[in-house]
Amino acid sequence: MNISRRNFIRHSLMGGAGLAVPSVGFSSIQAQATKKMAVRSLGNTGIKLPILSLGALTATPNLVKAALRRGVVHIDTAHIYTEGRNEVMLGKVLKEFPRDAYVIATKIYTGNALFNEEFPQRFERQLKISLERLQLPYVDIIYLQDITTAAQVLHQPTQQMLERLRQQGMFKHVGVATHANEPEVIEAAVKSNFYEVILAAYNIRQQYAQRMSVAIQKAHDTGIGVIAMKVMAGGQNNAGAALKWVLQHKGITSALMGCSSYDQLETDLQSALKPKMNKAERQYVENIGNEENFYCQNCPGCSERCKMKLPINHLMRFYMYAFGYKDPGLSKEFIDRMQLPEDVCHCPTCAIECISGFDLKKRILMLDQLKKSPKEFVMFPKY
Amino acid sequence: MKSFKLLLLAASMPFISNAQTPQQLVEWLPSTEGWKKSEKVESFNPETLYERINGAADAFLACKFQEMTTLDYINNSDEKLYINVSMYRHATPADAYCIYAGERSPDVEFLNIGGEGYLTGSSLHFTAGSLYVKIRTHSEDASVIDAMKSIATQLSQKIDPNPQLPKMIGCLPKEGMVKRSDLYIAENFMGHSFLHSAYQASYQAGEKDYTAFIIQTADKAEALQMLASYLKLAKNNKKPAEGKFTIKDPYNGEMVVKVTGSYIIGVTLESKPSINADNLIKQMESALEAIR
Repeated sequence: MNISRRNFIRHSLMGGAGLAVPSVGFSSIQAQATKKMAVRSLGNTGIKLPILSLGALTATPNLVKAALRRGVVHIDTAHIYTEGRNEVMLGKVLKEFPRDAYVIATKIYTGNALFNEEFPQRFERQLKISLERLQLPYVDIIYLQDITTAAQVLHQPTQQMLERLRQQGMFKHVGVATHANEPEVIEAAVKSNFYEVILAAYNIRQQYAQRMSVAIQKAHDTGIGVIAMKVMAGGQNNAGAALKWVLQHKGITSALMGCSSYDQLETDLQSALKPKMNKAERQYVENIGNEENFYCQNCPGCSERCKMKLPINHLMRFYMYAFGYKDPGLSKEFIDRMQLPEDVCHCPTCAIECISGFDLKKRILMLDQLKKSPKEFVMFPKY
Repeated sequence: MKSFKLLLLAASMPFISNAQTPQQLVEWLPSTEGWKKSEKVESFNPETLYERINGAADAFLACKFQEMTTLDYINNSDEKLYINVSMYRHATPADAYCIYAGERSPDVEFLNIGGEGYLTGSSLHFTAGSLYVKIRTHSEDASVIDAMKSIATQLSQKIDPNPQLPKMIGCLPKEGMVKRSDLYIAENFMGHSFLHSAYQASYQAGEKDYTAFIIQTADKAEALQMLASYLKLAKNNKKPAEGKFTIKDPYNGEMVVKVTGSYIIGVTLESKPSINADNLIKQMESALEAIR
């Protein structure tokens, strides 16, 4: 754990929850429910969202309805989710609600495909299919999905295509969705003067959370709405603390939570209704600064720098299974399949300076010990 | 240096076996005339699957996804023409079926490949063993589709020479079932964490729809514990026991459930369909008895 990240987490505890007045503009079904949940403006879109939103991929139809009735008005899906079945499900559910009762976002897979000639045609075709599935003439937000570089964000032909489709009424607002290289993508979105919403992975475990915080603030200050996803990463031991930590940032309009059970929905709602951290949650967040970090960032070129050409990112994952998840059996299963050298690491010192601060040699030697342990002496997971 | 506890493996402890490695799966992929397998093979695990399929990964994780291996077949005459094969390995055949059925649309061309397969546009999906396989191309040329079918057929035979869908699916009532609506939900059935997993299908009786489901537990004790949690949620004071109960689920509406041995069988009645729920329960009970 590097010192600057530890200090960032500690300083982040000084933030507040950014409460705002209850929303206007939702149907009466939600108005009562959102009275108690804080609401924030989604940049300059004119939309105000409760600080909790629903990622619908793993939700049942009745769970989506329950979330809507409890004031979670923003629902997120994507064209590719379960080969379209998720949008079809939402299309049936949303028919039961007034149009002003929800804010619906979907995404079209983009990535580097936007540089291909046929991309505009494919995008438009898929968006039309999404609208048919959702049984809607338009969505509130359309995202370009899997955006990871500034070049993708700043691609002018794509912006022109999107503007044309917006004029046709297929969507109200346009955004980019990113879960890699997020600070660069956010900074490019600010520069573009085109995108209105950003959906970005943001959580307490990110090694570059401090840089993310600055980028999010910049986006907020220029009128771009930012919705946080992957909020729970590493926060499963204290979901409330993980969610509240994200919501402390006033540049975050709402946190998008995947939800597959009513218990989970209730837990998330309780955290959103009382977004200020309690003592135990603050303690948990402080302790994360001191915890051993198990999450490899999968930096490009890492394994190439290893003199033994070991698959470093895979080995760090196996280390996480053994010592983070406390599941040595699972770790051993993967190690045994890897066909590693007899003695995994010979190097007197490691040639790699890990940006996450991992002591790679130490961790690999511990995995070597696991590798050499007979299978029958290691507990295996039960499925 | 940290130490970790080493525990003796009990004879009864299940362990992961016969889990195909990426290398094995690539070896199983057949040679196909006019095509060559790419040298580049990628694999993804639960932590990295999102790098390949973005947020769609969560649906796979909910079905106990373990590992995905992917490579392309490149056309010998046109290197820009490819067929991608992505093989998703899950914990059990039921889990593979979970995601396969979850993504399946009823309005596609079904194929006799693996336990079940289908073709939609230029995308072929099938399930066999603990694998869910997607084979895709960007061409709609008939010869390319034929190549995909050939790859799928041969691969499925390698994965499981006697493929079948989970037996429990066959225990759901047939009459009134909406075509291809059978599903396996691997966790949080009906949104309730205490119900864990279940097989279900959707039905129609006139304008009304309903669902029939089977939950398989480890034993009668677990089934009764599950029922106790459900009765508590429904504010029903009855004592959990084998037999039939009417439950008013605050989220999913009214339903009839019956605990029989290690199974909980049920029919949802939220829409008040004109059906004989008792009869449906009996049908499922008999079917389960037949496969025991």
